[in-house]
Amino acid sequence: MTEPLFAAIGGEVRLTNLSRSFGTIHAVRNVNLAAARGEFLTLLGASGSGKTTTLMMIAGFVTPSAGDILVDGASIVGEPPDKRNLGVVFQSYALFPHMTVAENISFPLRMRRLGRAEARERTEAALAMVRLEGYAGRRITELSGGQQQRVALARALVFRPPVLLMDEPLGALDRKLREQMQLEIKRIQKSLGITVIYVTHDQEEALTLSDRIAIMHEGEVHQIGTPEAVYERPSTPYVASFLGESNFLEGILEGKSDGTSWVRLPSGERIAAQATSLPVGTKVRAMVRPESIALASSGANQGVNTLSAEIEVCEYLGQSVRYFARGAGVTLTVRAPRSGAARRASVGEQVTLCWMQNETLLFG
Amino acid sequence: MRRSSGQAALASFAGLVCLFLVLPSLIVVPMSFNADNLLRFPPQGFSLTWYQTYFGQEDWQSATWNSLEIALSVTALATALGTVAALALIRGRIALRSLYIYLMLTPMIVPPIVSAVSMYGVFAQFKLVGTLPGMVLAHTVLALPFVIINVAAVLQRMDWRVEQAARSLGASALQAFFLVTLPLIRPGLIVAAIFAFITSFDEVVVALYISGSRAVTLPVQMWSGLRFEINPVVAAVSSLLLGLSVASLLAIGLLRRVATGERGTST
Repeated sequence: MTEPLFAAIGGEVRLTNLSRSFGTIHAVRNVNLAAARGEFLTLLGASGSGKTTTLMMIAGFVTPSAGDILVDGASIVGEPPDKRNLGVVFQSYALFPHMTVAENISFPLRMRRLGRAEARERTEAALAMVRLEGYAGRRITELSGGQQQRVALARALVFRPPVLLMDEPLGALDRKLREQMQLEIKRIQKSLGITVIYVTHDQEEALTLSDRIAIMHEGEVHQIGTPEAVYERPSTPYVASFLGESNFLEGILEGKSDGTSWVRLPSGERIAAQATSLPVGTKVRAMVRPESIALASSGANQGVNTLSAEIEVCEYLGQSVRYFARGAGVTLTVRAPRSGAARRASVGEQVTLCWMQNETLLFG
Repeated sequence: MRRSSGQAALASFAGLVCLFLVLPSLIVVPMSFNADNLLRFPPQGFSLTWYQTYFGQEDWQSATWNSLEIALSVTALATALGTVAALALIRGRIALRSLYIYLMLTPMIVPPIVSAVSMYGVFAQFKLVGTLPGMVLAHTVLALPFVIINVAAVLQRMDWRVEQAARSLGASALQAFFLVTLPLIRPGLIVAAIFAFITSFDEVVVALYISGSRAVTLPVQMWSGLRFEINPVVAAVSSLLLGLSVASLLAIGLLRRVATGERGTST
């Protein structure tokens, strides 16, 4: 590697009861989060969920109403942004248009009064890291969006911050470039061992990049976990519906027996679901992902749960086919792979929807 | 066919309006080369006498230097104060923001004669009438709204994330302002400074009251020249001022183009 200059040691970030209100609006409420050294933690949420406000509090541009922010055990809440020593990449890149690429990247070194020779060496290493060798003398206005993004990244890393904060950094790029930059960001993060706190509303991006994801909604963190955990074991109905697609079936919790819960639907069918701590007799919502449901010919009985339905809509999506099927008084979404063993159904056809008991989650 | 003839009529009408607006000002130029010693049009013969008189006579020269000194001081003072005020108005978290904006713009709306009378009343008490500092103060008040409007317009278009980025990279608030914000708003600041200079250099109503006999400015000297002498020196000075105004206007146009050009490609 040509990057010994960047042997950064990731910092540990801890947010405790962090809150921010603007007047009567609680933008961020009681957020407790910890990013371990070298971890890639994503704050994922819709706009207005408080994720950017949280990030801006860590960066020092928004003052918390309550709570604390600790980096490696020390509180930084009282520190101005320039004393926090955290790298920040903004959505709009926020490059200095009156400076060259090299002047942009060496700006933090200039602020730290680094020697000319060392500053140049580090700037060049940073340019190499983001694969922009030979662009040192270019003007910012001559660069494409992707190149500007790389300069912003190099500038935020050149002073070896222990933590990198990124606010929707790929929002302005087209899909192809975005996927390419995701790989770059991941590669750089791994090679530096730096802690990254990343804000996005793009769930695919969060799932691809993150070690762990914190899902935020209305200023609160709903769930923190690995991409697998938050997708497969969402802890709230909001998380289940925000991440991916989901079907909800309302019913009454009828019984529980060794690891299985039984739900009676209003239409009379009985559904088997994962174990729950909810008491028997409560109203519950059973959730199942569209890709967990298989289509069978009418009358077949393959899985534990079966539901007769009629195909209402059929959408061809390339990789998969999405059906909307009406059964048990609700419309369920079913996603089947385009090729393989799965059978294709047509609109108006009577089918049986089958899915496994352990693919069914219960919410109170 | 009908449309193009209509357009031609419109164009010639616009041309006439332009002539109507510009000709009275331009007429001083031929008048200033008059060989005769009366201020009249058309001029009789050609001579540079009146320019020689202007550059040779002590009262014209001292008035010019007074004007320059006052206008340059006003430029520095109004640009600095106006920039700070615009920053506060645009970026600050202040209650009654629009009230402050209206208050700061009042010198532009209040009739000059009203400003002149009220300033005279106040300045007389502080013995500022007839002094250069008094003139600088009076003109700074008049120039401030132009500076605030121009600087506020540039500030409003600025992406504040750029300044935040500077802070996150280790720049103090002052460093971020001087190394990042200031260079980015510089074209707007120069336009504001030119406006401040012209406001002071051309101003006559307030100056008539405040300048007294010891701080006579060029416009005041022209005013009295016109009243007591009526010779073409006034036309010569007017021609020179006209040249200065045109040059300033061109500079402003050029700077505006530079500023918008940079913005157009940077984001």
